Amino acid sequence: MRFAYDRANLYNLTVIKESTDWMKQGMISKEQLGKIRECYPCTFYHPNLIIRLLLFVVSLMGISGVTGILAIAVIESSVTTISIAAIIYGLGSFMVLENLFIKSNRHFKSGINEALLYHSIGFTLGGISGLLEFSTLGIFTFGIIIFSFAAIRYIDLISTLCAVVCVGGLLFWQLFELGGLFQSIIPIVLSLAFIVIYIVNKKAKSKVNLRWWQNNFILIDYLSLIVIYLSVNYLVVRELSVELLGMELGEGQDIPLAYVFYGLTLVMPVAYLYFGIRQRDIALIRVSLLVFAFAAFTFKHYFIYWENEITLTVAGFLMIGIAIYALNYLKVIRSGITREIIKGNKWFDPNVEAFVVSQTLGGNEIVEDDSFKGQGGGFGGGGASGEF
Amino acid sequence: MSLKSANEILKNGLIDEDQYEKIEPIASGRIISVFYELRTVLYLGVMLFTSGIGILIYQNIGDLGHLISIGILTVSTAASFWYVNRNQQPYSHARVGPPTPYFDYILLLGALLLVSVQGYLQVQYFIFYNFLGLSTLLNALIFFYFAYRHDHRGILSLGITAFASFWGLTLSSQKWYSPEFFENANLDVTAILFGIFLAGGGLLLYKRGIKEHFTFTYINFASLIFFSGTTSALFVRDSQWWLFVPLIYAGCVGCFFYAKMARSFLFLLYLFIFGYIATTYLLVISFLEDIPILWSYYSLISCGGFAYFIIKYRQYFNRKE
Repeated sequence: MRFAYDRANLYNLTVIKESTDWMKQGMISKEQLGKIRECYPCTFYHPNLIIRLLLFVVSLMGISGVTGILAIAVIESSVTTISIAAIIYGLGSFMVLENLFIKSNRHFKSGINEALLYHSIGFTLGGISGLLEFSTLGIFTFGIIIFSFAAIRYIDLISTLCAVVCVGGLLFWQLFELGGLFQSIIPIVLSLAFIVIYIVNKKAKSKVNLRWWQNNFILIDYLSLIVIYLSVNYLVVRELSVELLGMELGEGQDIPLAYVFYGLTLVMPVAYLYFGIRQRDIALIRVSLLVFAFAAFTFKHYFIYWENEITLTVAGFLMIGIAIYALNYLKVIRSGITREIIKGNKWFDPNVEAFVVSQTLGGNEIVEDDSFKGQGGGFGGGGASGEF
Repeated sequence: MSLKSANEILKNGLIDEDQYEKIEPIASGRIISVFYELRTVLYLGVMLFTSGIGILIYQNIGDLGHLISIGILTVSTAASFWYVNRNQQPYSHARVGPPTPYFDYILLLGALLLVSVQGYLQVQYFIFYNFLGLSTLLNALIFFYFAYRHDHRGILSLGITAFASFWGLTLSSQKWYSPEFFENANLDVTAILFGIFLAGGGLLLYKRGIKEHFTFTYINFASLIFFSGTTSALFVRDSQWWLFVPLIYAGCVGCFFYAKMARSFLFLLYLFIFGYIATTYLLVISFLEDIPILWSYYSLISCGGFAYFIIKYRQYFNRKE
């Protein structure tokens, strides 16, 4: 399947984006960037992130107006009629997106594109599930189809995420429904399935003619690595066994193959990090950091009976120490890894960072409250608000 | 993709060999950077450590564990400032880059720990027992000092939030959306005045040429405080809409000029959100309330018109260079 956008324009846009980053890193001059822009003209309408966000919100609100007006016509009908109307409405908005915004007005990820796309997906998928009487199997299957279509045709990342989630969900749900033995092999099947996805994805990523979807492949890289780890993590396996499969674990009892899962919980982060460094794969390195934290949490949860404050302090101390050590160690480039900035990152703007600091650290937590006056219990403790 | 385009640009003579030599290892992935990853680990470490120790020092007051945590707190505060003093650069009104990649975070750690020490001394020795507000003000001063002395925007924003909480305004993400944001009477008025004061202060410092890159943080907090104050006043004090709607519009005008000055689109976003709320409020109290179907037309026309406006004048909203 081909993507909906104009190929030459998309290529030029990629070149311009890359050269802009080189310019920001001081590798080429502003004049050179100007010349590159002239040689690679791009007629897409592709505004910056905040304008995109603004257009996204505005478009969603505007579209909801259309939905409101149209809804009056079918609101009294049966579920089937409403479902069919929703499908037609959803497909109709795909047409509007394709013809009016992408073809005629050359919008490329303008915010309006995304709003219309998710709107179309929502109504099409909602309508289909209505016709299927909201069966889980049907929703996951059509979810995979529609999200994959959107991910490929519009090179969209959120659709890619949803498609991968649907694949995982479908596998999990099917095995769960089959019951018995199938339920107990869920971790193995899931991890094997995502290892296959990971390998296939790696192959696809290196193909030149598929390079347009580079970011989608990168996202799938991250997701499959995370799913592979989660499906063998002791905490996840144990808690899901208890919660979903109704396994009863008494004092001194443990899940089947517990030692395998203990081992994997610990070994996987190390393996991720090792291969990440060996292959200079930033996705592996980042995921290894995440799963290291999760592995530590898992073991803390079952084996260490400290109070949480001590864990926080010790963990913080270790993280500061390791990060400073690594930053010093990488003063020179070692096995192709450097501590210097070589690529821009739009999420690490100093102004954004400053705001995140104020929202996550405890500077503003010293609020007058009675518990503080009495014993000073409520001090500090700026909790993570999950923004970082 | 990267490598291919770098090759092609070289062939077209748009960059020279030397530059290609620099770009090639990065574009081909032979060199990767872990700058952001390590800084994130460091940041989270600072966050966990200061929260953990901040709680620990208040526990089991009097026994051995307590003394140990006081010891750790003192030693780590001293160590942070020893490092900061050894590596610091001279003060300048202009931007001063950090001497090492982790200087910023050690400074942040030191400032947060110092605030913990300050708070602990308050509680232990009751210096300001009845004036906890003063303790907050003292924290704000500590933060402002380090922010300006060592050019640290994160600490500046901590200073602003501490200063705001001195006036009773809590500016944390958990509170922005909560209905009791302004539960106390007249806190909304405080917020409005504080917002104006903060924006004025920020702009004054900008005019004086003192740390011009701090202005964004000032104006950002000022806008958020001002707009949450005016918007909540609009809904709480129904009868005084004739005062608060124009105030919101005035704020929007301010945002427009600042957006233009700083070429920042974030303020256009604020302008839209709060301007839209105020306008919708006006329309609701005039006639929209009575006819529900008009709502649909209203959102379609207003949002469609707005999107059209942004795209039509795309030159003005052009990418930041």
